[in-house]
Amino acid sequence: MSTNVLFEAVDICKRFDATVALDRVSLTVRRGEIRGLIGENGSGKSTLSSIIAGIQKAGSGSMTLNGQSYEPVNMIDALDKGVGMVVQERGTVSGITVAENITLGENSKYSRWGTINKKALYNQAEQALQGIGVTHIKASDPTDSIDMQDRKLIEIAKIMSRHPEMIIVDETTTVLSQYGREVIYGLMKEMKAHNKSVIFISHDLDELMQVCDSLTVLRDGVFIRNLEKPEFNEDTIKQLMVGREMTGSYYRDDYDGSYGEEVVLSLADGSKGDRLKQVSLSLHKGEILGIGGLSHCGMHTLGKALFGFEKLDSGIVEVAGGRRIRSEREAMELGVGYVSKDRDVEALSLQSSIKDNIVIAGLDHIKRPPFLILSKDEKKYAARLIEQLSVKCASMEQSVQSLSGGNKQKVVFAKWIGRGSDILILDCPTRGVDIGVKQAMYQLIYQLKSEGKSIIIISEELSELIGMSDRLLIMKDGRITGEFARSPQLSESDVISYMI
Amino acid sequence: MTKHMLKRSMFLLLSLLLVAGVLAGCGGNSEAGEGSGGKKIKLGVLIYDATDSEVVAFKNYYEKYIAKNYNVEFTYSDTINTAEQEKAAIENFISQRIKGIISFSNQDRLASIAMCEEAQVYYAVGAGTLSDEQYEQVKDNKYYVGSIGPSLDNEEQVGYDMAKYYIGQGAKNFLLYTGGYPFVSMHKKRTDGMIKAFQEAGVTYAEGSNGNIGTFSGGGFTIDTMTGFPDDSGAFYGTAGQKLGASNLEVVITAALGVELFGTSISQTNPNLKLATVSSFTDAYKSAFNAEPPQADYLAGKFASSIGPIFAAVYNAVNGDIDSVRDNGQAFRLAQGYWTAIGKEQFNERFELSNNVETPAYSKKDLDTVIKATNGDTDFESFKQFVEAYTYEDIQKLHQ
Amino acid sequence: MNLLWTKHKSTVAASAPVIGLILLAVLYIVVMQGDITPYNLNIIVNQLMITAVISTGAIFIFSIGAFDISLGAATAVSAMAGVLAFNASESLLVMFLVCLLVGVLISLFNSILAALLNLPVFVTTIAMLSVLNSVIEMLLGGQSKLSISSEAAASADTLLVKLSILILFFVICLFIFRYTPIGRQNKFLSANPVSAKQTGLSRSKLTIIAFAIAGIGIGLAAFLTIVRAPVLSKTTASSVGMDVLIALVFGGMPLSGGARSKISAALVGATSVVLLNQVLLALGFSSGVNQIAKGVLFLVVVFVASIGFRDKLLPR
Repeated sequence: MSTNVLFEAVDICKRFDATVALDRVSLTVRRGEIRGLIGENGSGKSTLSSIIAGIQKAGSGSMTLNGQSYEPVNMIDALDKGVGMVVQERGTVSGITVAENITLGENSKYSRWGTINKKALYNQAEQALQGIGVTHIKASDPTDSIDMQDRKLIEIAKIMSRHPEMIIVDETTTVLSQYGREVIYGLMKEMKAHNKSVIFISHDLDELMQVCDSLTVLRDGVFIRNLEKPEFNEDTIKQLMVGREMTGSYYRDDYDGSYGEEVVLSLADGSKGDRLKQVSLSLHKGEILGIGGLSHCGMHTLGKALFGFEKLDSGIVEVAGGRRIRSEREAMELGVGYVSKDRDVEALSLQSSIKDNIVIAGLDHIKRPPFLILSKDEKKYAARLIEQLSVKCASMEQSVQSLSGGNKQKVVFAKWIGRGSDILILDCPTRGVDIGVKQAMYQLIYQLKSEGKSIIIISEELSELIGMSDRLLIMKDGRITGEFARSPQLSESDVISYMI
Repeated sequence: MTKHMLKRSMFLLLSLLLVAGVLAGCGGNSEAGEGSGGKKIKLGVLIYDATDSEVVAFKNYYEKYIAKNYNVEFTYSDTINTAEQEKAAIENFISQRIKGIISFSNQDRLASIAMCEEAQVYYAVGAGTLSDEQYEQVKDNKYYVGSIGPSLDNEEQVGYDMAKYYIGQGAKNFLLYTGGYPFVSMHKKRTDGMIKAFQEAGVTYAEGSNGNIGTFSGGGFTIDTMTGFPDDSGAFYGTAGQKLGASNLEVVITAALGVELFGTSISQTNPNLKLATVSSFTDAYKSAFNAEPPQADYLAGKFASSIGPIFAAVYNAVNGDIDSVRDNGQAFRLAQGYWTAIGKEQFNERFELSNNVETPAYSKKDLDTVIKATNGDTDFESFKQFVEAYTYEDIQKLHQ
Repeated sequence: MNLLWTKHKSTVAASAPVIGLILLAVLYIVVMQGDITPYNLNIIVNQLMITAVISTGAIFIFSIGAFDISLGAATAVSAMAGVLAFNASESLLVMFLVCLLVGVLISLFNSILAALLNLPVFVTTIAMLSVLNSVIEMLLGGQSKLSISSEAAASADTLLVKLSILILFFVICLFIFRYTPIGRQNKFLSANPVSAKQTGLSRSKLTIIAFAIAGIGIGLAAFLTIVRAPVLSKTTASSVGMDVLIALVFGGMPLSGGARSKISAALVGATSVVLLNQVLLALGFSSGVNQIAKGVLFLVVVFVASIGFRDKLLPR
């Protein structure tokens, strides 16, 4: 074994009930290396990284760190041994201060006879934040007053303050803005400069290719290939990930941009606090209407308001024929469906089965009058949609929790497509979804358009909006600031100035 | 096996051990002392409150004295608060093949007796009595043994004696606590006795409306009254504090629950008041009598082994000798009153005898005289005499 | 073996209550040495009846993730109203209808008030508990007992009447829970309230329906309470709340509702509790030990029920 090797995992296996998540996967990370871990959702990359970080245990296989046997009992133990992980989901605890979050698990250091030395605690936390170059967060702030991005930074500060030998960054960038990304890229470079290592997991292929020294591709829990920087090639990587050649274009390839005359959904003078200021818009039959902007521009509120989920201070949402939408139920009755940005919290019940999640929105379609619901009808309904959307699962009774991000999103789509919604409001539909599934989703959205359905896509990814929309609206500070028709000439730089 | 599974298995194992341990440790008593008389006779005891000190004293007597000296084994119900629970407890006794039931629970007596008759199990009332109407309905029931306890006349006498005593002591200023007057007949009778004593002393009593307690005047006495029980509002204790604080108040005579409801308030507001009540010779009263200054001055109380005779009757019944306690072929209804203790000294004497489980007030020797199996000559008359000689002095004589 | 266990542990956890019930039944036969008379069976039915009926209705409340602390007091008030109605009319039918009506009204009041005030329904049930306790005092009118004669109740105190009520109510609830949208919507609502709202489910509507059904259970239980022991007092039905919780846990119903809610839990649980009690009594344990043993078993049940649902904290 070369002394250059920092970490090595050999023949790691892991199963969840009947599903094999990892099948004899090995991974070697050298000192001073930024290793990208790539694969579709369900490929096993999150499982592998969580085993390395001590969040769960391998079924079998062995790991070494610095040539020593490495068997972390939990995340804190892993961190003590020198491996820290910034997790995909929310990693901070609410209800306590920033400082307490940063020093979580080491409280004993700051307490004497039961009282906590607040000053030492805050100092330590401030130092940790400064250590990663963050100065705008105060250690004494309550964590709940802080947005997702800053929470992520707190988490990173917490890990970095323990000076790990290796950090694992899991899909973190999906919730980070450019500033946050800069912070984390800087840290990764610094780790590399100090001859330490990074395992980086992301869905953003461009980002990975730019940042990483080498890539490990996983597919369906099996190791596929290691690629060194000179071998990086987008098509090769995609092909390795998906296991087949990607055909056709990523987004739709027409620039027709036509849609029906009829307005199927409209908002007149919608206002809501600071988030929406007299916004008016109309969605036409067969139209894909994109709405873009920065995260806090009000577009997410707009999506919720159109679905009746968020009450407007003023303004009217109505569908063709003048029927108004004042609640989710009215929206559903009028054929509107809504895919939330916050999938795990708002769109799905994680503990419920795939079937239950799909069926719940379609009970009125499944029931035999007057109110009879039969299990077989329900199963037929769910099976049809699972098939139609190719949800990857062992059984429809499996809990949604065990699915990958892309498959979860397919279940959400199934909810709304199942009840034949004519109007779909999709808020960040491809967030945390990898390219294979992403492409399938785009194709599905386009297909829905061709069937005459009307779709609103709200997204923070401009390329997706430009690639998919018939018409694109840009928002800033609660107002619509620009409108663009579909055109091959439309580029991100044309649009960006309206956002900031 | 993973560590996780190991932990789980350990938990299950520990739980099972705990259950097994508890069961083994406490289940053993069913075998103790077996052998002499073959299979033990099972008797069930219905109790109104498993934690009440009176019940605990009763249980002690049966458990630590009777069960050791006779071929019987007692099983107790859970606390019975409702008629439904009473019914379930009797059902359970019957399903456990119990031969006789001694009841200290009074939810639905007639229904209980009917159940016992159907199951051919003997039923006796431990420390209470039936109303005339109830008695008429069950006196010919073959499985209803009878009742021993303070009769309503006893109750009235208790109230009368209590008031009379303080009037004799020259007290003029009273607070009368009447408990559940007029709905609880026991409390009503005691109160009636007190009223009678005051009337004899020259007080005029004007009856209240709707049967509620009335007002007293004249005769040189000041008599205030208080009725009802505490509820969640705390109003009861507020009123009590106010009334106890009245200047010149000398004596608080209560139809029930004297120390329980007034003890604390008295020691806080007016420690020199004299408190008289009806209850039992329990630890709570021991501390009240022995407090300085004493919280209680006068007690008409039940004693632990007062439930000896009812056991003897049921024992006769389950032995097939029910005739020896039949009153002209009918169930008996015998009166057994209270022991009276005035002042600390008398209380402590009586407390000692009441709670002694080595040589209780009713010992095996005493009880054997009314048990047919040991005394072939016993009959209802001798049993009646035995029960009715219940006072402390009578029992002292018995032992001489 | 290990794999087999992993594969089936959620099934094992899900069927644990039924397996437990069967074990208890076998144990009961063993400790009774096969000497089981119709009387024994009769008392088992009698003792599980009231808890089973209330719990069955209450499952609708628990399945939406709500809690009703006033179940016992509501039962007592309904029963007292029934007794007063009987004493005025001499008709068991009138008594039955009054019990039912009062039970449903109390329950509806709870839920409608919660919907109007936009409060968690638990809060209104706390307020209701207080109100109902005063109503009990009022109905008793200072007396310690309220009763109808046992002869009057006797005609309804038959196994046929009681079992018909239980079975009919259970079957109706089973139908509503399994074969109409209600059960599914309830479970989804408690599993994820936000997602439920985004799927058009109305918390208020489901809460009102759940309480209405639970109210019917309360009314029926009130009737059964009178029939079983026609003497009511301040403490009547006071243990109902706790009995329901214990039965539901023994029946494998998660008290926070959610996807694993099941309607059979009430019947399975109530029966298990009664059988367990009978087994312990038959073994000759005093009531104190009995309680400890029940407490420990309670923990074991909760533990076993949760086994299948750990480990899976992380997505792949």
